[in-house]
Amino acid sequence: MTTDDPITDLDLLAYADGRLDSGRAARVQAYLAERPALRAQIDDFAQQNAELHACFDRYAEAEIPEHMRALLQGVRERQRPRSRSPAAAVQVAAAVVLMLAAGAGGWYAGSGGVRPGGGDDDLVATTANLHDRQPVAEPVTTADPQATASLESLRERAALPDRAPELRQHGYRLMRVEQVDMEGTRGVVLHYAGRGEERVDVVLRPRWETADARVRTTMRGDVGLAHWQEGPLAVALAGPQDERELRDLAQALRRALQTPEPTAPSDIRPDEPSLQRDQEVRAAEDPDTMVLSPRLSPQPAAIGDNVQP
Amino acid sequence: MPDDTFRWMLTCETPRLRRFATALTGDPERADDLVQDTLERALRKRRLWAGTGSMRSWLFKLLYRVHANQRSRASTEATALTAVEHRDAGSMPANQDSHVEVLNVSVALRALPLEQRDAVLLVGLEGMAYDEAADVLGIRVGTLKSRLYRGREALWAVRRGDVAVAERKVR
Repeated sequence: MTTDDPITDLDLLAYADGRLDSGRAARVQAYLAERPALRAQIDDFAQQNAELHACFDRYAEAEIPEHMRALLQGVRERQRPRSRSPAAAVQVAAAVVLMLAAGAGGWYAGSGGVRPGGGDDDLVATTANLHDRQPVAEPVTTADPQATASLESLRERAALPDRAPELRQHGYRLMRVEQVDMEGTRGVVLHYAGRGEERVDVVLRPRWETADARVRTTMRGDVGLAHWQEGPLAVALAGPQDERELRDLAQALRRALQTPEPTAPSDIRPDEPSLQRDQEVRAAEDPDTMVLSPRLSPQPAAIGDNVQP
Repeated sequence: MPDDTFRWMLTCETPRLRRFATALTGDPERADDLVQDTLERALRKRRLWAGTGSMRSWLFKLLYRVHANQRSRASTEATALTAVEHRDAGSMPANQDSHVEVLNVSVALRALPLEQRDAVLLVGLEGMAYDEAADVLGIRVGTLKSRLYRGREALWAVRRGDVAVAERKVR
């Protein structure tokens, strides 16, 4: 052994992992032969690997659960209930997609109509499509005239709260606002980002018929669904399977969407073409503030204070 | 890549994901939830996989990110053994029968700081190269080696019943 080529901790690690070439391994062996205590320690390192395998390999050898296999094979079926650990509860909330749409012929999701009682397949599929989009990298600002115009256009047809629904308590930050066509009717999509890769998408669209305001829930695959009427809006929410979590989230949204105005439905059908006009874009004082109505005094939406993804 | 090919590759990697997830969480049910989330995410984000790199690394990275996010939020996640557990784990003679020995390693693993445990599992259990494990954890290779060495030293001390040494190592 020369001082120019000393045995290092990395050599010892690699020796324990069997990743040294034969020449280097022989030198480490000679080095350890002179150091019995260290030799016992390094031998134990190797033994740890073997014991880890003895302890955990059975989980790799076990048959893949049916619900997992169905997912891998692209077969839609109801998932088994998830464990109720706090981490799992937090995680499931990350898959929330909110959809607010018109109520006359039912409620709508994306570009395909979703009819009450029979359209859950479309809703779940649209939910997956929305989540399949590339995440937005930068948070929204009022400097985006198209986004502001879209919101103002929607406001013509339905009273909305001053600002976008606040989802900070759920850890989501507003990232983008864009228009979406739903069977010839324009709506607005609000994209939120949470921690890591979690996202929430909210679709707003006016309704024009009075309907039951109660929150109704159902399940579709691994997605929990809630829908209700909220003043001028019909609201559909897809998210956690757990009904209590789903209803809690629905109530939070109801509070966020409540307006001081009467809760009548829109008096103009959303597919009437006369509603479109050029929008004046007025930037708020706070560049991170996205107001739903540029006519209103901008108030800090505290979007910039949101939890950083 | 055709969809069925992609799904087939996911299926091939699923057993390893389940093993790693179980070791990470210490709970097979939570592990399956974690793997299910990872697979769903992989299917949704398949375009983010370049198709030329290691799918295994990509999947492990996805899984680890999901787990790390959950872990950072879950205040109930145990980060170390209690003093009693620690002492019990360390008091087991290393030369007992293999069943006890294995249990001892499993328990001793829970005594490690999370970052050391993660490194030990990726390299010792999953057999990842050091640079690959570092990539999964999002750290530099040098950091990975340091955590790995310290983690193994701590495991060794716990297995020998040398609680004092183990406590120094895990700090």
